[in-house]
Amino acid sequence: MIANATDKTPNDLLAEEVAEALASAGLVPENRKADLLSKLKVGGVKQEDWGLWVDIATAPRKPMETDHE
Amino acid sequence: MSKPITKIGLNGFRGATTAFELEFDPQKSMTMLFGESGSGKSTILDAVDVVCNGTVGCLGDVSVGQSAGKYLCAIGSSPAILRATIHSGGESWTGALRKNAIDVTGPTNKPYAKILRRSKILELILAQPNERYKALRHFIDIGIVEQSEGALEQKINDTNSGINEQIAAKDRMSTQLNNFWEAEHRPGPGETAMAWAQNKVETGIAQLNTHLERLKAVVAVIDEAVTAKTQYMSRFSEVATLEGELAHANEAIATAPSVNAATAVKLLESLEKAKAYIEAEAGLDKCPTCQRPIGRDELLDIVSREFSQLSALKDLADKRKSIQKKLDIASALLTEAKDTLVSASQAAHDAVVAGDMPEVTALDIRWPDWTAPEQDMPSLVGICERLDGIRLTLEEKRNAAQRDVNQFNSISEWWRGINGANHKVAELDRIRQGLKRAYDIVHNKRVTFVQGILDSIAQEANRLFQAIHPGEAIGLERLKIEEERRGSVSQSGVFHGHNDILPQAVFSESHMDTLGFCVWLALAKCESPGHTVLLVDDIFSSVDAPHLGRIIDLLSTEAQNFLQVIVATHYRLWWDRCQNAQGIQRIHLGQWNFGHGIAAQNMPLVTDQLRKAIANPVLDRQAVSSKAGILLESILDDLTLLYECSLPRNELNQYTLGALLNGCVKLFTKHNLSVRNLNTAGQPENWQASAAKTTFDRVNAMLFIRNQVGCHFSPPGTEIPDNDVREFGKATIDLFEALTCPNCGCLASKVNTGGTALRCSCSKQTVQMTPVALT
Repeated sequence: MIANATDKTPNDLLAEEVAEALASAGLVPENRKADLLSKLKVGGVKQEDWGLWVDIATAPRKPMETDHE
Repeated sequence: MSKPITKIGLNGFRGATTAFELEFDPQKSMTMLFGESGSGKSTILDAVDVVCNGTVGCLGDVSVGQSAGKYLCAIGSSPAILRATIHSGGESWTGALRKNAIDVTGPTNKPYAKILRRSKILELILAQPNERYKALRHFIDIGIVEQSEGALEQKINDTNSGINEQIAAKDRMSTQLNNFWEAEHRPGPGETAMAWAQNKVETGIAQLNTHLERLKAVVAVIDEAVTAKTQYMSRFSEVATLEGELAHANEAIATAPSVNAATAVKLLESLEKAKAYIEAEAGLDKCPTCQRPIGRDELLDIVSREFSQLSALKDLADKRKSIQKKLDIASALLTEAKDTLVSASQAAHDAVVAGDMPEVTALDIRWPDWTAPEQDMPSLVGICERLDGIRLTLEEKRNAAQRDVNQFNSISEWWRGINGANHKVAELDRIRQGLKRAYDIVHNKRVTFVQGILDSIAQEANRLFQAIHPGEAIGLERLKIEEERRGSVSQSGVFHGHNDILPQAVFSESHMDTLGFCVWLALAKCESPGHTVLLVDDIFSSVDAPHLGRIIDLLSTEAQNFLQVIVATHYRLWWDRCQNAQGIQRIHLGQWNFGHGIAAQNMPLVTDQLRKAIANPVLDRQAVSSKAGILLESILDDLTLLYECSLPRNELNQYTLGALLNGCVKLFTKHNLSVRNLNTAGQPENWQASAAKTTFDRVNAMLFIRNQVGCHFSPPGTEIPDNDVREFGKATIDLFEALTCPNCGCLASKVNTGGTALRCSCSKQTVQMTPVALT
């Protein structure tokens, strides 16, 4: 939890928690998680990023896709 | 890998008016600098702070202007000779004064020092929430993630705006559609404007367009036919008029004197010349042609009359010619108009037949034979006039059809717009819901994350506080991030069963001091303590004996978490209490003066001093007896206080050694003291019964030696052999060592986790006593 204890800043630690939680909640596509994490660590997640990721992650799946499940 | 500071060298630095060196024992987890006020304690700690942290030491807390650095120079000393050198791990760093600022040279891996001064102890506790946040920001600074959280929040706001815009547009279109639907008296199918509109859109516009185009075509050809008919009639009328005029002119010419026009013209020319001649001949009295006598005026009258008759004939001829010319043109135009009318009539025929208009059908028109329609122009004129009769009706129908098309387009546009807006709102709402869930996750993660750090700091601070104030029912309850005020941390405490109180409003001054110290220590522990040299600059001044003992225990224990701890104090009680703490290096600072500057001396453990005295072949009997007595008093004082032993009361709470020994008899009779040795690896072995009771009895039996040899001139004392004096000293050392931890030098004074025994507070815990209280 403390930055120096793990050689990671509080930002880094929180960014990892947030990225994992958002991906687990299905709010960011799994294949965008690494991008999210890297952008969270530098404060670079823009409005467009949020909109795009959430849109893709929450878009209704087409019947063909669900057939495989 | 950080190493402890092993030596400090000062010259011309603050109180170090002469060259001064102080060595630290890297084997000791804590160093205590003891000296009265003005002895140079802060100078030594400032040197560490200045060199390790690049500060101006305690001068940073006082008002000395912009050039604080120059005041680091010892008064009367040249800035050029100022040096402060820190030695650690075989390396050294030296600070020198350059342009009123300290310039430190040396390797990059300087030890990191964290210093707490008296002036700063309450800073964090008394700070405003936002200032407290700034002080804690280093530990909870997640501003970079917060930027992305801000972008997410803004995205939600923008999405809300987008949804609201779509809803507003949809509402506008719905209102228009509903108004239209209402104006149409709520036609079906369905019971809503949308159902009606949907039906219309699904029906399509093709039929309406076809109907409109037919009407447009029919009205247009009727217009053209009527125009052609009008033109034709106009030409026809014009020709008839001209033909009448021509007939009239011919008749006028026929009744005029018979002379042909050419002749008439020549005559007219001759008459004009004759008239001009007669008018010019004023004396004329006979006809110049036949010479018949005739007066000039009569002759002139004859010529004028003939001239007039011939001129009227000429006018008639010109007029007939003009009429004929007009008639020719009008006839040509009539022919053209006839062709146009025929053509327009044919077009009208084709259009109205194709248009299948009931209005046209009702006319029951008998169309001419189109092989020679010009032969029956009146029929065409009549047809056109009849078509003209229904033109207005058809035009109204055309306009109505145009309105229908326009309305369809509007309805279609609204219906599609409303559906599009609904779809867009649904899409945006889906994204908004996702964004909100994402925001909740990010926000909660951040708050929980930060609060978790604050909780761990507060928990640790409170644990430290409780170690100093056990059972006092006060403490730090929580450090809490204020969600409503970004960048603020509030604090709350507990006070005798009351929660959520403001410590600064309720706690006593000494409680605030220790709370400030504990929060600072907890923060220091968060900050890579294994690499930190902790400096505590004389922060406690008026702590009572029980609390002081706990603070010493606490610092001794916590010192093991840090790279090194250096404590400065002027508090003699603290110094005395640590006189035999084996884990503490004790450095006594003597009186300072300009001549010699800071004077420091390493002080050995009191037991070591006693051992050295005993080991001397030439025994200093009085020194051994006296030191043994003081050590005995010290440890028995602690024991009787710790176990609340019965002692005869006195106003000053001062007890003789005999009284203290008597007070401890019950303790040593009823209590079991256990010890466990440390093995070669430094780990404690199994518990074994201590020889404390036997040793106590040995000491008790020789107590008189302290008074007779160590304190007074006493003839019986001279009779006591040196070996007895030595034995008294050894017994005292044995008793001390039996009661204290060889690691930390402390008594067993803390209740263990199970509440079954008292143990020392260090990590080794090599001494324990049971039961925990004297009954």
